[in-house]
Amino acid sequence: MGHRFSHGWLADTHPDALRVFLDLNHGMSAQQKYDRVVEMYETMNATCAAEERRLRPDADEREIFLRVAARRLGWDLMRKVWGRAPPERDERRT
Amino acid sequence: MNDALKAIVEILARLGLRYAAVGSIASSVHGLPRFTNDADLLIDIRVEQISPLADLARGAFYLDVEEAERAVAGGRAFNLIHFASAAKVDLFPCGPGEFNSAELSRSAEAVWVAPGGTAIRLQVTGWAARLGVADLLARLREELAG
Repeated sequence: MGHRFSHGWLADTHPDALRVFLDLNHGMSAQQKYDRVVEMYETMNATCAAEERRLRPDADEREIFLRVAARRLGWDLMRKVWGRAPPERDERRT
Repeated sequence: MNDALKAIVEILARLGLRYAAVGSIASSVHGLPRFTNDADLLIDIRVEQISPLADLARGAFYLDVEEAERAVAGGRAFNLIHFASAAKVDLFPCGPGEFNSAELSRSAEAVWVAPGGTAIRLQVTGWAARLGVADLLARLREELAG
């Protein structure tokens, strides 16, 4: 059985693989799906934190936390919330 | 994000405010889980309830009270930022009587997620506003209702 989409979403997925993917998701409870969302969010945060640690090996965990927050919230909102933003705002990442 | 949501729904429950998770969380629960940068809650709140909300949120969340009061008065969303996790929760005020008790909850035992139909209706309404076709959507709904 094939699944067709009129847009690009999952267009790179083989129909058999897509069927397995959809079946797995249909079998998940609401709690499991909610947990997946939280898990994806935490994974993205951890990935951003790892990248910040790589870029700034001397930074302490507080600075890493603030820099990860700035990636998601933007610098202006972050300054409102914490009253400051990390230095080197315009530093180019390499 | 989970800690922030739990903390918020506990505050809402203490204030007796009805809410439902909408947006990405609702679409994930009713459909396929997907990544989101923040959490959206639909909330039955009036302007005068912002101050008590801020009192309970103080210390755990950032909340701009004046902006939140302006937002609720104008039917717009306002933000809470969880200091401990930097998670952002957007609260969308609903109009009086706009949603019934089956769609919103005062539960603090678990994050209450809006029913699928409600979540879709809100998404469509939001996109219609962004695309500047809210009037067309309203006419369509009138035609369907008539």
